Amino acid sequence: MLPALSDRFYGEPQTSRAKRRQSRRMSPQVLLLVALGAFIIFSAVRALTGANDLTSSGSMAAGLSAAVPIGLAGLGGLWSERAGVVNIGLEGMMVLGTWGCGYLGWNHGPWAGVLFGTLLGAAGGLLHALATVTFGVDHIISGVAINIIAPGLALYLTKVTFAHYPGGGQKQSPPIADARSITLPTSDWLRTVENKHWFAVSDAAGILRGITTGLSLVTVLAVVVLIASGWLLWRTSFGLRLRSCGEAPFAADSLGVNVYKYKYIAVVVSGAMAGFAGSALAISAHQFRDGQTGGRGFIGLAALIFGNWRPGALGVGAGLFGYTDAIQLRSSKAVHALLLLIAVALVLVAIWQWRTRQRAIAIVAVVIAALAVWWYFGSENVPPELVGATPYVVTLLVLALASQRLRMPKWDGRVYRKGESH
Amino acid sequence: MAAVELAESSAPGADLAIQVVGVTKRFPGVIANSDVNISVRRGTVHAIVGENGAGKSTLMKMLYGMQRPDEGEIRIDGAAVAFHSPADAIAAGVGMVHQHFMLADNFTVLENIILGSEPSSAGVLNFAAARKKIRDLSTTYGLELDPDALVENLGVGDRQRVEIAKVLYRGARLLILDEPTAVLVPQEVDELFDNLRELKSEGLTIIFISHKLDEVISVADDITVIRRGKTVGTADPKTVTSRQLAEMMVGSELPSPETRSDTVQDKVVLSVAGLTIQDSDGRAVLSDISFDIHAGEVFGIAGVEGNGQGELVQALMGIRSINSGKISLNGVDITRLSTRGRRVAGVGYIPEDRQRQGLLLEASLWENRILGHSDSEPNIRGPLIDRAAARRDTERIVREFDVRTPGIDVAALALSGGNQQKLIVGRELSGRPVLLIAAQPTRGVDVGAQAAIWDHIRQARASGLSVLLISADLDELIGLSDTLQVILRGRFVATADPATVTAEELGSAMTGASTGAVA
Amino acid sequence: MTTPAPDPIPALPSTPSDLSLVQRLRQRYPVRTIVLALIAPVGAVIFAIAASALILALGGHNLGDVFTTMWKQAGKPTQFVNMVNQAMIYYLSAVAVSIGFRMNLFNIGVEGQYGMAALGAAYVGGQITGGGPFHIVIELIAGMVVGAAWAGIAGILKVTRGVSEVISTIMLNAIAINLGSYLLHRLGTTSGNNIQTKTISSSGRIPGFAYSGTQTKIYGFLIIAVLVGVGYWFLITRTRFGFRIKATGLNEEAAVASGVNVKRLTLIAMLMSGAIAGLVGLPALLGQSYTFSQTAQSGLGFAGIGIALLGRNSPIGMALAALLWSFLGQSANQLDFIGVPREIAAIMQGVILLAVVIAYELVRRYRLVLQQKEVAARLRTPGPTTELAVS
Repeated sequence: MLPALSDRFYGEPQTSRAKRRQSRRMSPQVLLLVALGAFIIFSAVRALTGANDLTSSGSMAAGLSAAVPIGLAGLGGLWSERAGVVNIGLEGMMVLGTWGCGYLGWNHGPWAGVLFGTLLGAAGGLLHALATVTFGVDHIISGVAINIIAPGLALYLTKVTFAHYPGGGQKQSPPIADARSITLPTSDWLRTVENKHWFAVSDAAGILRGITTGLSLVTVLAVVVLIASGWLLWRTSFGLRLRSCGEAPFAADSLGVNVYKYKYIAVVVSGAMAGFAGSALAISAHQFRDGQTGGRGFIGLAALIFGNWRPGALGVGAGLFGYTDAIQLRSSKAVHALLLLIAVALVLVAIWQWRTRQRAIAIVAVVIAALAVWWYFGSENVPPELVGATPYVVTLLVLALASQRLRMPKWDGRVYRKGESH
Repeated sequence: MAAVELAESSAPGADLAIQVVGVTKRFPGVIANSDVNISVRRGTVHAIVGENGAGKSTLMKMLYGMQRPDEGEIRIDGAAVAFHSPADAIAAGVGMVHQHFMLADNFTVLENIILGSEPSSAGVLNFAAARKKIRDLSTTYGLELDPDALVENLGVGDRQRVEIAKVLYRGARLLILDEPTAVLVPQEVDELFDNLRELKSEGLTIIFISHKLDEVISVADDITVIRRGKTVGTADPKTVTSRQLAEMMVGSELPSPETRSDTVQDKVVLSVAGLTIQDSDGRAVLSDISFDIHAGEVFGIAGVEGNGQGELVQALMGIRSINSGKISLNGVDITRLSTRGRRVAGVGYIPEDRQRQGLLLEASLWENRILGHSDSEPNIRGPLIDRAAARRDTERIVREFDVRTPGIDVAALALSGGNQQKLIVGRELSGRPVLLIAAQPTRGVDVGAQAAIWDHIRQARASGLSVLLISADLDELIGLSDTLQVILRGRFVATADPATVTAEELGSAMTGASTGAVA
Repeated sequence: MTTPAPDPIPALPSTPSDLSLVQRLRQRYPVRTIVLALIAPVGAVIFAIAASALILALGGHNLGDVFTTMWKQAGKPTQFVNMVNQAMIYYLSAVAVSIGFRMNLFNIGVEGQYGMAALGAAYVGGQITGGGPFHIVIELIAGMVVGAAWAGIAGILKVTRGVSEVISTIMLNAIAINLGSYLLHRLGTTSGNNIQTKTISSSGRIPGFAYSGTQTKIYGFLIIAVLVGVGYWFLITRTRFGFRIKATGLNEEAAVASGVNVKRLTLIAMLMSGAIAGLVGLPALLGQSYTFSQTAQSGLGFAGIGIALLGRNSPIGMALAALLWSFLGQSANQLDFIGVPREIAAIMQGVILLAVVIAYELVRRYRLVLQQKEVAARLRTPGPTTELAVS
């Protein structure tokens, strides 16, 4: 009776195999060109609109900091979905991470907090794995249940513990100390360059300064974890087998791979990542607070889709979403300028779709781009409430306009039971 | 017939790669293999032929370690072996290439091949070593594989070669190929056979399971025939003919022509012209199919499964889109009509997989009676379901079609297969169709129910119903049809006169051994 | 023609329509089936209680106090009224989710749909002055239209671009929060620290039912909620449209073969689900607050999912589940007085949800094993040859 719903978590792209014959990965040279192109466009828009905060070091630093929880959550989603298990309980596991970080972090230092937060997140992952892998429960439902339990549990535990600690309260933990941060010696020199507002050069200076000033070690660890995940999943035997569970579990089983084991590992690691994400959030906020995750677990999922289930692109997506989150607080002018950037991106998408014979989609993309431009010129600023919706709108656009390029793991979301016919 | 022998045929002293001695395997209620004896000489292609359901797959599963024999033994290189899992079989040098490929589309050829047996140092994948080994294999055995190609972009022939490479990579010396040509076009079949000859010349032994007799004769060195779980005999491909093989497979059964009244009228009910369907790779699944069915005529299509019958049925029902062609019902063009429209226009459908396509297993019988007929009497009243009328009609169907059930409120899954099928037949005939599409109408149905269903179809036919009959049961085809066509690889290749054709003549036409008019 | 061989299953009695309702029910729902069907929800609740007991013990609280406090709340008039009110809200959410579930559609977006709809209905309702009962009708329509439209976005994406409704509704939920906040700022009026829509005048309010022993009234929306439940039942069990929905959910392949246009049905189902979701915020709006602000209740969409699962998509089952869910939430509010965090209710609700789906799965597997044993037994009995195609 219970519907097998997560069978279609991501849906079927409506294209024949012929249309999906795309190359698997862009070569490093093409990637470099794209990055360069994006940089030029950013600089141009910054120069045209005078919104210096678009590429200022302050925005970059804040953006990077905001990107960490999102990226780690998305990384958690990556680990899980690459093994075929959809994990929308990332939000709940992240909450457990924030609480865990507060529990040990307030009087044992931030790194103890990170450790415990990660552990609690992993526990959440274990629960999800138990439900989905052993009991074959629908992945979505299990995730929803965890998202109901976790915040309640965290608040319950807060009232039982933090409320009695010095500096804590009914809904928050005592303050957590900062993790150490790094600042490269080039920082001052870069600031001078940045303030000259020269086209491209100052932008480059701003970006560089932003990521080398006051760089928290937590951020550094997060980036290391991201790179390590990519290496583990694509360059080792372990990673190949794990990914095969998400692509063709029956084939893997026929070759002697223990599919259940790898799914378990993947989902527990997924929870751990979400826990780490929560810890990072708590440390940057200097305490645990009820409700501080604010949907970042879902933004992480959005970044995962945006990044086509690959760690590098996921990082870029998280960076983008963190960036929009950061500049929203810093400069409404920069946010306003973002509209133009989105329009440019949409036009590029339209060109690409036109060339691959998807005329209707190309037209839709151009129309939306035109709307964005019209909005830019027709208004003074973007209403602050709407900026927060950017990651979600972008993801919807990606899903709607670029679905044939998306390549989610083939068996993602489908319940696997050894020996059943398929 | 010197080409055909019974009982063990191994020449004394021959070098046997694998030997199956007196193997028996039982499942609850059925004996899948009974005292099977096969001797496979090393360095040869040994074909095992038999119909669907003859027991070939069970035998192969035992050779590959997925099942264990209840009696008898399997000997590899003269020594008895007992496999507990495919891993044991792989370790003994046995490799299986499944009929349904087990490949990860989003992985490269290399990743698919090495999965589970990766070359690595301390866990880190050694891509260079893997690439080299695959390239070597590819050259040695003529597989022409690019290790970095994405499997999703590969055609069917290439994918099969990846499966072959998978087993060779793991050191297989004995390959088992399960219906390898089922999904290949003729040109790909030739390429496969070239590959097999290469493998043979390198000293490998190949077991080739198939029911395509013309192909088997062209590539095999020895042939063993299995029927209903027993070895019927062996044959020498150099001297045996397709017809002889077909007779061994199917059993010599004399035709039982029924003196039946001619109910075929002049009026054309279904007219199909130039129907062509291509799959997503651009391969023709149906090529230029044209035929007419008259009122009161049963039009039978004989053919091995997978030759386009399924797609034809789907196209006629509007479930599958076509590339070109025209379908008319009673003179009205229904090519663009929806499935619902076609049903309302009078097309009834008995699907070949009753559980997946014909029933709502968890719903009650009377609810299943409404399925597919929720736009017509007696099930409806305006926009509502007329429960009482539907229930009454279901009871009528249960009576008239002898559906054995405690009541009409039980869930459909509680019924046996035969009774489920009787319900479906009753439901479809109750819709007063002008055309009935019956795909495998008595599959899995016991003898008594089968006869009853045939009777009902005959009665309806006598009142002017047109029937399109697709069946793997040659008795059924011959006994029911007024017109009989044979389909192979998406084309009609032979016509038969049901009054005079024999099962083995039909069987050999189905496997491509003869074309044109058969008897 | 040969005589049919005897069959282990007995044939139909000669006059089947003589079977009484009870006998018919016994056929369709044999005792074993009922037991198996109930075992999961009941077992889940018991398990959740046990788990909560553990958590409470960890927190150093007295279990007996907690449960007696909660239990006593059901008796107090104010709490009882609050419970009923909350239950009807949950019920509407569950019905909305359930329409989708029947078709294997997952409308997680109820969360966003009801928020947007409540805002829309509050705004429209605030603008209208006078008009008698039409005022209320327009508010209802506004809510349903907005809810349907918001769900329709996901529906269109699904049928045109194949985007799963799960991911698109998750995105739309988040967008709804932002868009709702923006619209509230634009359309609302500031009152103190709060921004809210213009208060709805008396003609747009639904009067409540008085309940002895308390000033708090039961929302008049109860009537509409009951109608929705009845309508849902009627749609699914009595109409041709509902039949097609059920068929698609039970076996999509068979539904397609039977002529159902799945894409069209998907879109319609999403719209209907969204329309009902649009009603979720209205009982409180039209019966108590008369204005929409940031403090409107959240989390109702996810609760609806849990309740629909617990109630197995049945109108009566979901009503009972809604009462249970609401009982847990409401009674837990009083736990603060004995120093126990009220969040234990949320924990219980989540654990019930997880436990019930695990229990369903275990029951399903058990049933499968039973069935296979039956088939094996049937095949062993001497009878007609039963050669199965085992190849």
